[in-house]
This record gives sequence, C-alpha cells and structure tokens, in this order.
Amino acid sequence: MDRRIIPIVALILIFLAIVIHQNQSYPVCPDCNVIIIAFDAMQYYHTSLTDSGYHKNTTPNLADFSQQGTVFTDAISPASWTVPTYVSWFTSLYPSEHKVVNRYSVYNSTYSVVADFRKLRTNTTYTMADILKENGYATGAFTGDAGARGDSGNVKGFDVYVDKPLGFNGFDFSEPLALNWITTHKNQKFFVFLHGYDAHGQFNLQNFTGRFLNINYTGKFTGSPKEQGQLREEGLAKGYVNVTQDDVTFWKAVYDEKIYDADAVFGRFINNLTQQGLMNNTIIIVASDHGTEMFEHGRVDHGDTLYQELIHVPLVVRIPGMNSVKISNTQISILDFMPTVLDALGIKVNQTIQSQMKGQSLVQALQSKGVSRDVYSETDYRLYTHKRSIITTDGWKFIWTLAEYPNKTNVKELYNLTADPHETLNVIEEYPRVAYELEQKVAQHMKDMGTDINGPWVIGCSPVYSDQCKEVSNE
Amino acid sequence: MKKYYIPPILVLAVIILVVVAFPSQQQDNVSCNNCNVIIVTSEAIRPDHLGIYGYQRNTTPNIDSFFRKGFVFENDFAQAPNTLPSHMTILTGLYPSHHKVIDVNSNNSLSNEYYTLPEILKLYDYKTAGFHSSNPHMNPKFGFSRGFDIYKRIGVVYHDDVLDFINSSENSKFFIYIQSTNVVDPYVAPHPYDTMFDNNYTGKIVGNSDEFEALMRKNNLTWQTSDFDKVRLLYWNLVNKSDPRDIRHLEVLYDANIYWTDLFFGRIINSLEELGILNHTIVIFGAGHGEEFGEHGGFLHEKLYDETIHVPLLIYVPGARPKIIENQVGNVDIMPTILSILNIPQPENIDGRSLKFLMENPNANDPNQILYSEFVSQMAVRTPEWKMIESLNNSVVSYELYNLKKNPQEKINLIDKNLTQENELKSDLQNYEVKFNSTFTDLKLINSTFIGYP
Repeated sequence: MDRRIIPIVALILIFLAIVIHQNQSYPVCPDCNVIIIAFDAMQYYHTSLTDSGYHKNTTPNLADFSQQGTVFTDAISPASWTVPTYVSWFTSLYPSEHKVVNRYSVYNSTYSVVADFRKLRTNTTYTMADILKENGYATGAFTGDAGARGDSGNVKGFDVYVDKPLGFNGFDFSEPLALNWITTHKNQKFFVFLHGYDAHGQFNLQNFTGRFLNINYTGKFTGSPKEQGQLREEGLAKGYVNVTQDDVTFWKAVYDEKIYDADAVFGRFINNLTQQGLMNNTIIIVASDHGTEMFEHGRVDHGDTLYQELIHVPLVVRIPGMNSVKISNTQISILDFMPTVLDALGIKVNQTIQSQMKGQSLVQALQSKGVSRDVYSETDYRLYTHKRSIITTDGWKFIWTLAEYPNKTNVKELYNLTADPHETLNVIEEYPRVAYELEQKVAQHMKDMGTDINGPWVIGCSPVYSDQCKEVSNE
Repeated sequence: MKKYYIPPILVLAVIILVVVAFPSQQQDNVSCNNCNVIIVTSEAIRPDHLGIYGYQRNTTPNIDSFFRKGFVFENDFAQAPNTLPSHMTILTGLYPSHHKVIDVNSNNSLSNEYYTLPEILKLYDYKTAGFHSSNPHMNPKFGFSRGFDIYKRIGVVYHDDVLDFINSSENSKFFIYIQSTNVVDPYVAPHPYDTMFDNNYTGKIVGNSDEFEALMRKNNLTWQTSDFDKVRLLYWNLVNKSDPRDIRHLEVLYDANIYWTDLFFGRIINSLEELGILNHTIVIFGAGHGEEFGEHGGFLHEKLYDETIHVPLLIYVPGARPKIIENQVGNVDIMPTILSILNIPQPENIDGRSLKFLMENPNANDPNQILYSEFVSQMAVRTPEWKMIESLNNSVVSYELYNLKKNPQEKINLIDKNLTQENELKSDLQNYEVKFNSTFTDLKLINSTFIGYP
C-alpha cells in the first residue's frame, strides 16, 4: 500500500469522528422533564421581559428566569382566545384543523355539545401528553378551569387533569397542586402543564394595592370581573366602549397588578423547582395563550380581534445544558411547542404524527439559527366574528374579517408593523398589491387547513360564559 | 498495470442505453414575466369553422398562421352559451352560478369578494383597456368595467381604438380585452365577403349587408338595441329552416363573418409586429360561445349541446414551443392560466385552474377533467367521455345523458339505462347546484323569441 495514503485516511477518520460527535450531542435534553407554564391572557407588551418596551416592572421573576433561557420577541399565537389556543399548543394543529374553534360545537336552546377534537376530527389526534406518556412520562395538568378545561380533548394523554372547581382560578390554586404532584413524581420523568387565570379579566384580584397606578383615580370602576365582562359585551355590541383616559389608566393598573401577582407565584414555583434540584433536567416553557386588549383598538378583553395586543404573546424557553441565545428575534408560531419538546427530548414519532404537527421545532432558533416564518392566526370567537390573519417575515400584517356581527363581511386591513407596530393605520389603499398577495396567502393557508374560503361564514351565538346567549339558552 | 481493451461497440451500447433509460424530459417552462396580454374574443365562434381546427374552407388564414406558433386547445368549453355569464366567467375564473351575473335583465353586479382579471393586472402596474360591442350584455353595471382604465364600446372595426390605446399606454405593460360580435346573427356581410364561399345561392336569405340594411330601413328598423329583436325576426323570417340549402347558406354567411373577424385579428397582429412588441405579448383568441345550425333542431346559442359550448382557445406565449392540447379545459381556466404565465398569484376563491402545467407538459397527469355549463333553465356537467344535461320545463326536471366518445353528436340519450355514470353525474350536478346555490328559470316562463337576449 502506498504510504502517502495514510494521512488521507487519518483525515477522513478525524472528519468522521467530528460528525459522530456532533450527532451524539443530539438530542439536546434526553429524558428531561417538561413543564409548560401558561400565564393566561398576559399581553407581551405588559410584561417586563427584555424588549417588550414596557416601563413597569410587572414580571421581575419571569425576567430573572428568562436570563437562564431564551426570550422570543416575536412569538405569535394561532388564535386570540383560550379555547382554541390550548388545543393548538398540545396538538400543533391550527384551530380550524383541530376544530375546537368555540366552546360548543353545537349550541341551541334545547341542545348543546362541547367542542371536543376527539369527536370532531375524523383522524386520530395525537397530543403532546399522549406521546410523552407513551415514552414513560408521568403526565399532569393543573389548570384554572374555564377555557382550559380538559373536555375540549386536552385531557387526552394526561394521568391527572385538574380543571375544577368551576370558574377562573389562578396560580394560587393550581401551583400548589402542581408542586405537590411534582414532588411525588420527581423520581420519574414527568410532564406538567401549569395554568393560571391570574391575568384574565374574569379573575378576581383580591387585594388591589394600586402598585402600578400613578394617578388618583376617582372614576366609576372598581376593576371587578363583572365590570370587565360588561365592558367586553358593550364593546362587542357597539364596536367601542365609553371610557375616559383615567379609566384606561386604572384598568391597565389593575391588569398589571394581576400580572405582578401571577409573576410572584411563578417566582415561588421556580425557586421550589431549584431547591428540589430539578432545574438541570427540566425543560421549561413559559408562555401566554393570548393577550388582553387594554383599549388599544377601542375595546377591552380578547377573542374578537387579531390585533397584536392579542396574538403577540410572551414566550420564554429554557432547555438545560443547551448553549442557547438570550434573545431570539425569530418570528415563530405558538404551534411549535410539541415539535420543539419532541426534538429536544429526541423522541422520534411516526409519519402520521409528523404530518399532524403544523409547527416546527424551535431548537434551531434557540441556537441562534432560527429562520423566521410567515405566521397565521384565526378566530371564530363565539360566532360573533370570523377572522384570519397573516404576519409576514418582512413585517406586513393582513387581517381578513370574513364576517362579523351584525352584518360586516369581507373587510380587509393591512398594517406595516415595522412602521406601525400597534396597528393604528390601515394602509390597504396605499398597498393594494401587498394586500392582494397576502389575501391569497391566507386563502391558500385556509385551503391547506381544509377550510372552504367561500364560506358560508355564519354569525350566531356560541357562548363561552354562562351569561351569554341567554336568548337561545335555558341555562 | 495491465491495459484493458474496451470495444467501441460496447461504448456505443452504453451510450444508447443511457439515452434510452434517461430520456430528456420535454418539460418546457411556459412563462412570460411582465408581458403584455391581449385577449380577442368573438361571440358565436365554433372551432370546427376555423382552419386551425381543420375546417376545409379558408375562413381564418391569419389566425391559422399566427397560432401555428402557439397552443391549440382542442377541447375548450364555455361555461354558458350566452355572452353575459360567459364573459364574466372568462374575466373572473368563476362559474356562472358562483359569480351570479347571469341575467341580462337584472342589475346583479359582480360581488366585491371577487377579482376581475384587469383588477389584478392593474395591481401589477398594467394599463388596461376593455373594448366590447355588446352593450346590453357587456354593460358596466354588471361589473365588466372594473379594473379597466378604459372601457368602451366599439363598432365592427376596432383596430384604431386598440392602436390608440397601445400608443397612449407608452411603454407601460398593457392588458387589452376585445369582445366582438361580428359573427352573431343576422349573418350579413358586405360585398365581396357575402358571396366569397357561395356565389350561386338563389334563396330568400339576404346576406349582403347593404341589401339587408335597405330592407331594415323599409321596415323602419335601425341597429339600436331596442329594435334588435325585430331586426333578427326580419332576418330569420326569410330563412326556410327546413331547406338544407338555406341552412348551408346560413353557414356560408356565418363563415364570411368569421373570415372578416380573422381579417381584423390579422391587422392587430401586424400592428403588434410593426411596433416590435409581439415578442413580449401574450395573445389569446377565444369565444364566449358557439353556434347551432340545426344539429338539435334549432339555431343560435340557446342550448348546452357541444355546438354551442365547444369553443376555440388559442394561446400564443412568446418563446414557448407550440403544442396541441387535447385535455378538456374551460373558459373558466383562462384567467388563472394568464396569471400563472405572468407569474402573478391567482385568487384562491376561483373555480378555474391554471392550464400552465398542460402547456408545459401535455402528457401531465390530469385526473380531474370535469366542467359545468349552464343556461337559464339548464345545467350541464361534462367530462371527456360523458355529458349530462338537466332541464327544467313546465315544473318538470328532466335529464339527458350522452356518451361523447361513441356519440359525439349527442343524439342517443342514455338516461334510465342504469349506467353508473347517471348517478355519478347527477350527484356532481347536485353538488354544484348546492355549492353555488344555483337557480333555474323554468323554460315556460320565458316568452322572448330569443332566449337570453333582451
């Protein structure tokens, strides 16, 4: 044999070694525990996460925690309210695909059926909990009930799914239950969904300190869930609500204090995990299902629009042992949790599950190699409205109202988010070609989701809360 | 080292094997970014009366020689046999039941959920002009003028209007839509065209336009819309519909009108050539509908048999290799086809499909060749092999079923013969009608002499 060949062979072997070594560093966190924490209804711009631009220190614990992980500055929810969103979290399907687009799939005066993807979809639907359970995980969900209830199908794959008592319960209720369960399951692999309604309009803030109120408020509101519910309904009926600038300041202060209180429980929870030595083998994802409108577009609450205050959500991901970036500006969709977790854990799934998942793994984005995507959102909130939207990677946002109460149809809005991040100026007249192309992208996306874009788009009443649709209900 | 001898014959064999095993795929890229678009349509043109489709009379020398460089669609069908719904379908890519601009006596305007071809092209910086010669049908009130910078009525001769527009659009991309009625009845032509295909007719039909206009004057009639039914009656009353010689003469005069139409088409092409813009202009020749000459006991275009819905479709794309395409396609496909050749996104809520894939590869897999056509009291579904026509007359719904391969004349009705196609096509029709909420007008409610005309 020619001796000159020896260095070449050596080089090849070294190269192979490098390749094998790199492959060995996959997966990034094998057999790690997984905890997903949902701050329900927390608007990104009302957190004190880096880059949110907010001037109040509403989430000091979350901000601290984010230092150990990655903050996503452009995370978009596939829907603007609770019921469809959590199903999307756990199935990586768009709402129009998993079909839990309202609390009820059938609702009339004599008969109602709770929307459940297990019954609404012809294909078997796999959830994140399903797959983790199959891979030896103990699975527990601890929620604040209401829209996070398990009967939407979300219970699928969970050993334990707490969604009682009836109402909008906060972390002060769900966090101790989760912690207790974790303590008893910490010697095995576990998956936990921890959810709290603390920031939600229907959560009752027990003790308002005025911590974030910088005016002497003398207006008529007390900040109660009942008042916010009334304002929500007034906004839906009229398109706007009658409030003063002081009222807005007051409501924001109430909202910020709810967030602050939720953040305090979150901090306690993370401390406890740290004390139990779980931080080195637990993937933690913190996010919100949607934001809350604080009068940015004339109304309050959520579900009815697809403006940024509702679909741009906070997202912090921490995967132990991973050399991740502090901030990712990659535009991503909250559909990505399931593929991300499976990727990080190195769990291989079959082709059926692969093709079910419409999201993508965030592991690349966590390592700074993320590629932004066009992201789509939708809402059919209470059958009051049917809206679809797209945000492109170059900062255009197109919102298509297919139909809305009482008789609005086919209304299109175009915003340049780079110049106008809070969507104050509809520029559809100035950029009709952009609007046309985005309309076709949204329509193509809807077709891909199996939706007939020609409708019909039926306006009706499908309640989320027991006080709605009284005219057709005996409840 | 030992040298091996490889015989040349072996080398040759290997080369042949490679060539045979990996044939070069004849996959063309048919596209034309930023090209001008001209669509010339004429009413009542049957492909079997055009030379390029094999007609024995020399009716269309200009169309024939020009489109030998283009795509010849042998099986294109109109979605309606009458002008108004058919042209709305061409311009929107929507079926008549979907765009709902069907009734010339209504004020139904195209809904703003839908885009017209010129509206989209305008978004992409095209200058747009629409020229039509059918005022009641192509009326702006239906939405036909949407997206056109210029939308105007033209006469028999339209060459100067088109050239004026091209000159005024300077160097901008342009889109021109021409709808000409030069072929529709009454079939008359000036000398020498009136006798060019038949100079020994001695019957009563007045085919010379000067003579016919003299006759009109004698009857106090003009070409105004309000007189039109009477003018047509005047003409048709001279026709002996049971005399084959008269029917033949009608076709001769019809052919003279086609010849004339071809002449104008040739002048447009010559001008484009002189302007040096033919190398970046897509040219399309098509028709709103066909015409019947007694095949099913009638005349004009008031039924859904092939003679009234089978239409020519010829597309010239600069630089693209000419091809003949046999697949069944529809006028509903014209809009998305043009957009995809221009690489402009098409609206997603349309019913037509881009034919670009067939233009690039005529052998491409194309399993879904199904089309619908409709007319007042009738609805038809057509596949390459079968056709079903549903009719509403005197509150009774009836069906006809034809095997187009065995009986292209559509004379042998195969309904109630327990054919599987019967149920399949019935359910296709039903799905179509439900999907678009189609409406039928009972034939007995129509008391106009000429159905579908004002």
